[in-house]
Amino acid sequence: MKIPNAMLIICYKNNYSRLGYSLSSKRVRVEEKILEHELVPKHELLTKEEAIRVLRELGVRPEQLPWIRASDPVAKLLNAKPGDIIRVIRKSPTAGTSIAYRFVVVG
Amino acid sequence: MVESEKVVKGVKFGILSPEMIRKMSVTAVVTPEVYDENGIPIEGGVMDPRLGVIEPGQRCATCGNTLAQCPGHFGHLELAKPVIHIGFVRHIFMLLKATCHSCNRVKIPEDDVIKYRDLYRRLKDRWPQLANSLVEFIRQKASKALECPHCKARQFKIRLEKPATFIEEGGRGKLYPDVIKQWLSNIPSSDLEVLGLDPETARPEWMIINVLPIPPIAVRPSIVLETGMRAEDDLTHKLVDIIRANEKLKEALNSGAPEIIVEDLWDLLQYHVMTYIDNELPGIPVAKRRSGMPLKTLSQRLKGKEGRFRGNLSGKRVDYSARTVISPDPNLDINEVGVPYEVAMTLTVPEYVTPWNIDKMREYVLNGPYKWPGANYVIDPAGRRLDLRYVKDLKALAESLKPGYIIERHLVNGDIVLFNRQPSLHKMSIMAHRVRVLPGKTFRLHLAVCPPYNADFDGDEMNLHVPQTVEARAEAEELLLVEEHILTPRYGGPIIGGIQDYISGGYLLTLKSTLLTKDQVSDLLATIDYSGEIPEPAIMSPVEAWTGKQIFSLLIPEDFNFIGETRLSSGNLKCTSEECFWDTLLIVKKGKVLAGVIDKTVIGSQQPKSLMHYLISEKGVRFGADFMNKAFKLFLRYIEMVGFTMTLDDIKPDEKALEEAEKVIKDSYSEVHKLIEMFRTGQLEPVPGRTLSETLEIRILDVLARARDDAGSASIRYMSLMNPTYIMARTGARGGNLNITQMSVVLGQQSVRGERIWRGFRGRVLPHFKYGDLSPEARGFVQSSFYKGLSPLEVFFHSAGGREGLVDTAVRTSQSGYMQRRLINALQDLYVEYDMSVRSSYGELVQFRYGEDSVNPKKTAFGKAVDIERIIVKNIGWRMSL
Ligand SMILES: [Mg+2]
Ligand SMILES: [Zn+2]
Ligand SMILES: [Zn+2]
Repeated sequence: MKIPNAMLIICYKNNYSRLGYSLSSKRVRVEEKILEHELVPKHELLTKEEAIRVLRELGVRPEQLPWIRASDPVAKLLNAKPGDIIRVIRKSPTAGTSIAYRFVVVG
Repeated sequence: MVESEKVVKGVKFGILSPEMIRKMSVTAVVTPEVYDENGIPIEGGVMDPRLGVIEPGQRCATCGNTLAQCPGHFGHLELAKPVIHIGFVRHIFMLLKATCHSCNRVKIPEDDVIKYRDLYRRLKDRWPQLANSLVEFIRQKASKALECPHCKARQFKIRLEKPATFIEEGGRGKLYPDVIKQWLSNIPSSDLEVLGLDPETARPEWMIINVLPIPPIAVRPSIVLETGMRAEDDLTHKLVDIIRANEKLKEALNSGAPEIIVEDLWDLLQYHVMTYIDNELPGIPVAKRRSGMPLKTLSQRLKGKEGRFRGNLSGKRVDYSARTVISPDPNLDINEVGVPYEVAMTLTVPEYVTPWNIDKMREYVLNGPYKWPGANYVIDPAGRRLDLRYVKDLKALAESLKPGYIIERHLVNGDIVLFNRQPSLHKMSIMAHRVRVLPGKTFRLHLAVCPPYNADFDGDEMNLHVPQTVEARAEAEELLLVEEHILTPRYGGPIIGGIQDYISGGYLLTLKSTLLTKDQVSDLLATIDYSGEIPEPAIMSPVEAWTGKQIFSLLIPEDFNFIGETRLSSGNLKCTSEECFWDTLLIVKKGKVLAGVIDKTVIGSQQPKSLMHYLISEKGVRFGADFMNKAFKLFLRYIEMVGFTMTLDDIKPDEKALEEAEKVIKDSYSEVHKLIEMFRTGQLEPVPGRTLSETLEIRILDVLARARDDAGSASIRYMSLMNPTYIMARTGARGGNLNITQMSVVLGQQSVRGERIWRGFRGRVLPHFKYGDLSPEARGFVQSSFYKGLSPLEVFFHSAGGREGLVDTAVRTSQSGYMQRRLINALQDLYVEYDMSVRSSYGELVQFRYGEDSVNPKKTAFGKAVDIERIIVKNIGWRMSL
């Protein structure tokens, strides 16, 4: 079996050498998997039409939404560019699910 | 005079240019002399009469106005040599690093400058934060250049020697302020823009002072002492210092003094101007008065808690307020506050005279300022204020009252006032109360409102404010009245509710064994102004007798159902069904208490989902307040009837209990010694993530804690169920099993930082122990109880543990106060829009739906908007699961 990327979680003593692994050889790429993580809510990139509709509904200019950096790992994965709007759908302890929007900014 | 109305669109801050300073100056200050030998201010000195009026009656030499109208006028001082403004040192440093020493351009290629300038202009309005980070990037890039992209000059490293000396390493060495000023004034305005400066309002050469503005006398008034001596303001002293230093420097320059002398004098001028602006600069000596007190200069006037911003703008001292010690009064309503006559006769409410109240108003005026209820001032329709203390004929004045007059009358019963106790950490820290004027010198409040204020009566003081307009009174009554705050938005439960004796009283009244005679019932019902029928007695013969539950039930509405376990329902007294014998399950059906007793979980404050909570949330706060007023009076009357005190004998441990407890402790000691032995011989298995000795400590702590609990419960088992101390612990009125244990059996382990006491000692805590003694008694286990009394060694350990408690309350309050300030500043202007989103005053979205579910926690049971269990009980009086 070929495993391209892996994250190693070891409990108790971190005696890597005994396990025969060298972890320093290659940085483990976990970023591509973050969207699957339980604690990362669902993110969606809005289309232009959707974005305009959402902004009209909320009655705000885009920069009045909370911001997210284009360099944010999730924004990068969605290929979001500054000026885009991302919808975040998250589980909420009070409301079941809740929807929020983020405006993508440079950085 | 027709004045055109102007609207302030914005405020912009900038730096005063020398030209501007000269233009707004009314006189040049030229001499350090302040007064002549007659005490008259010298023209051209810092108290020059043209700088503003100081004495009442005088007319201003500049504007001709009197003291009240003259705003004061600036003067100026021409410095012999420029000095650095200490507040701009960091900006100057940045500019020197980012620009070329030779051509004074920003060290960025021309093309890039244009590119960045365009980008900056586009970002500035819409993305101020991004514009700032762009500027930061440009500054860094420019500072890094080793060679000027414009003139190709090699760049030197600029070093800042605190507080205000710049060194050009490898170049000219020390850069004097005049050189820096020249450099800065050569930077083109177009370059400044990309460095984040606005050349219109903040040219960098203005950061070097060569003309110093002299503030008007109004901001630095001199005061005349009782001795007739004149004492000048700190700022005036400092200004005189500056002028004197300036004069000396000027003389030295004119006489062609050696460079060293000139430099020394220049440094002195720099020092005086620096401390004039900020006298708390690190690394330089503070300027002091002759008495040794540091001078309060410009920066010190603004900074900190007592400074202009926090002390005079964010927070102000106000009129119509009072402060005094508080004390309890169970006869008041929860909505009331007891106000001493003295206070009521000092604080006033302005009231308009109308045809409908004119008789009452005449009465107030007739009573005058020294008889309550009277009035202190009368304001006639022309706005003239009459002080009733000096009115000879009050009768004539009262007769002359007409509608349109305003009477500033004394505080009377029923007036609405705001009542506050610091620290004002939540909205319940300021509530509106109705006044009840009482004899005495303290403010009085109902005991049930102690929890929201976090007040007790060990000397606490509280503040009282009298709203002065009808709008303010209406707002206070509708929004701030105590009853509006019975339910807290923190968890939806009542924060105002039964405490201490109310709980004990309620328990004793509703006990199964409580039977009341007709006399007692009448007495109880009279205290709550009951006017209905007395219910059918529960026992008809041999004498008529009523149960306490019956009396309490009279206060509950007919259509109210409730089922809930009480605090007492635990251990072998646990009740799980309606037929339970122990009477620890409270069952209310159709407004009648059928079974169960009252305790903290039924009527207590800060108990959500309790009978009290549902009564208030379902029947309204008005009913809730009334219910509390009556129920609490009832409970107190009953507890007075039967008597309820605590004595030393209550905590006297039973002989057998003590034996048991002693055995428990002895066993735990041998267990501890066994652990120590295991530790010494290396048999102890370490807990993951802990060292061996940490493991030992954890295990010992665990064993000893268990021993104390076991000893406690062993002795509590022997206590009578009617022991007042035990009743208070069981019902939740005051204290718990731990307190009983500590009083009567064993005090237990004393700790510092969650560890047995050893921190700060080497090897042993006291010379009475061997080095390395790990036994319980050597590390702060107190085997005595408060009843028995502590040995000297035990007292030592106990006070070490007690000290820690004091220290961290002191530390915690300061930390939470700071956090509170920051949170309030961040959140104060957020509001919930009609679409349920939370927005800032700039229209930014903070939350898309308030709390994600747009539920007001005040109207919930513990945060849940819908409580199905409660709906079932409320409607059918019966619950499926217990
Ligand atoms: Mg106190
Ligand atoms: Zn004037
Ligand atoms: Zn250059």
